Amino acid sequence: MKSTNFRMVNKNVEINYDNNNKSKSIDEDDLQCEEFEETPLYAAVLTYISYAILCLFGWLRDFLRQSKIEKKRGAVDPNASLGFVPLYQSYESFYTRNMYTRVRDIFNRPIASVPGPQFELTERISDDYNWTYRYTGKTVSAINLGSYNYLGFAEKTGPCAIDTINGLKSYAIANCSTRSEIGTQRYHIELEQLVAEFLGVESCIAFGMGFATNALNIPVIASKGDLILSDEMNHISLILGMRLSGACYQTFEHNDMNDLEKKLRAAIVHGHSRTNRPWKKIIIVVEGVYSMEGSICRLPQLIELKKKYKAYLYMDEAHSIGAMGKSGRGIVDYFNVNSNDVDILMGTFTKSFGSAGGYIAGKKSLIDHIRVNSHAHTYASSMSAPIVQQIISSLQLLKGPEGQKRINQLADNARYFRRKLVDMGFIIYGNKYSPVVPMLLYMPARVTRFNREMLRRGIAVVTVGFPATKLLEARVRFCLSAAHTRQMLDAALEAIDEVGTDISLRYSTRHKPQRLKDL
Amino acid sequence: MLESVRRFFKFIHWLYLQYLLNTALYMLEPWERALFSAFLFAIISTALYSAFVFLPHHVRSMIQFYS
Repeated sequence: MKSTNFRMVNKNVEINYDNNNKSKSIDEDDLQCEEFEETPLYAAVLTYISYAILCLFGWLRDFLRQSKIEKKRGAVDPNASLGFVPLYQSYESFYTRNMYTRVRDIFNRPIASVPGPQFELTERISDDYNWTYRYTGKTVSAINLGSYNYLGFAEKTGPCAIDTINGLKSYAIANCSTRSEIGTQRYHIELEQLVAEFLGVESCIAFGMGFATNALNIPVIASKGDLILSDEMNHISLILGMRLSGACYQTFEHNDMNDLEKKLRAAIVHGHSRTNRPWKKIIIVVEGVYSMEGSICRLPQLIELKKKYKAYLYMDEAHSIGAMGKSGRGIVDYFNVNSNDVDILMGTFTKSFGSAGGYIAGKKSLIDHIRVNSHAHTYASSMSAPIVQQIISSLQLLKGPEGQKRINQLADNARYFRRKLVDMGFIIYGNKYSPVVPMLLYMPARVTRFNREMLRRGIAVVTVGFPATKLLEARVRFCLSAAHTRQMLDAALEAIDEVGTDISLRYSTRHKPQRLKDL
Repeated sequence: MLESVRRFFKFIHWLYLQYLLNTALYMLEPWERALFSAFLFAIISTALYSAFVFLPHHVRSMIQFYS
């Protein structure tokens, strides 16, 4: 199990910066200040006991189902007896049948309105312990702390919505072709130019799906004979892209620059594992903001390492573009580094721009290579007009004072919310400036109770457990938005305080547990 | 008087909730909760009864053996 030790200050800062830049390194410390508190022993023990009891009852129920005392409700492999390879992996389906399905009502709730700061959830009731649902037709209004709506662009009124409707009226919806045949419209060219200018790079290419941008374009830039060094907490889209490319990949510890340097040196010295041939190229893949941890990558040190060992850097800014930095230009802006130092900048339009799709930006030669060789470009239907118009409008809005107001509001909300939660005594992971706030809950029963109680108080949150996170570290992830007002955040904090006291979630030993009214 | 009785019942309810949450019984169906609680009660009551019956004699004979 990875050790989650306390790292208040990035120790690498002292190694890489000399004494002349003392004041700069203090600023760097503050920007990179992140905390990952250790799991308390009693929480770990109780979590293992909970899972053991759930496993025991899972075996009992499986036995009852197998011996036909109880009816089988889940998906069944129809050809199990014919000697085919099993359709469902045994532990995964055991987990799904016996643990996930019992509390399935807290996941995948259908929503009935625009996912703004407040939205409507459909009410669904289950009579047979979540195997089937019936919808009553009513909706429940709740404060939205789960949607990736960092700058608040998910709204149906306003200049972006008007521009989008006009775009729809001019261009309709489908382009009925791929980008390389006859589906490239003027607005695609305009979008790519605007995004390249926004990021401060030479050129950019946009795709219709953010996941596919990673999964289908890493095979274009990496192939057999290359080495990819990826952070261990990388998103599954990056991992899928790495596997599809055929390159060798190794993981380094999360945000640990010493480990990365060690692996880089070993790779350059030893080459391929059996033949000792040198690697054709080495690519380091990191994310700007890690969505499950709330931590930010150590960009200045990464750029230094990349220049020293002549590797390439691929940064996935899905959650950080628009949300971080003084003018919303992502992690490059947050750390004030040259955007030409990062070789491949990738991001999505889904989170901060209220739209859909992804982009890759960098030097013109790289983007031209991707344009010709990428499957996502040559075979996928091109992006639809209202989607692109929403991105163009929101980018133009971000340049003006209205956009700056949103960015400041988001930064303010993030700092306020995190500060209050940490002071109350909850364990919060990640960097203190990131808008993604993961709060640890550990036990599966507490996770479900937290989710249900918060919904009863009118706040919708996203709770995640195994297998999206490690077995012990089930958490609730709050995604803050520029559209959240101070009153909404206060209402949310009150509810968290109440529920946190009711089911005793104040695990932190570093900060004294306090009620909200005492702060 | 009534207030302290109410608070006491609230406290018992909170203890019961903690028991359900820490052992994951909160996620199980009522008959599974009854089964597990019955088992736990049987084990604990057997242990306590054995202690109550046998400990005095065991402790006395241990003291006698070592003195």
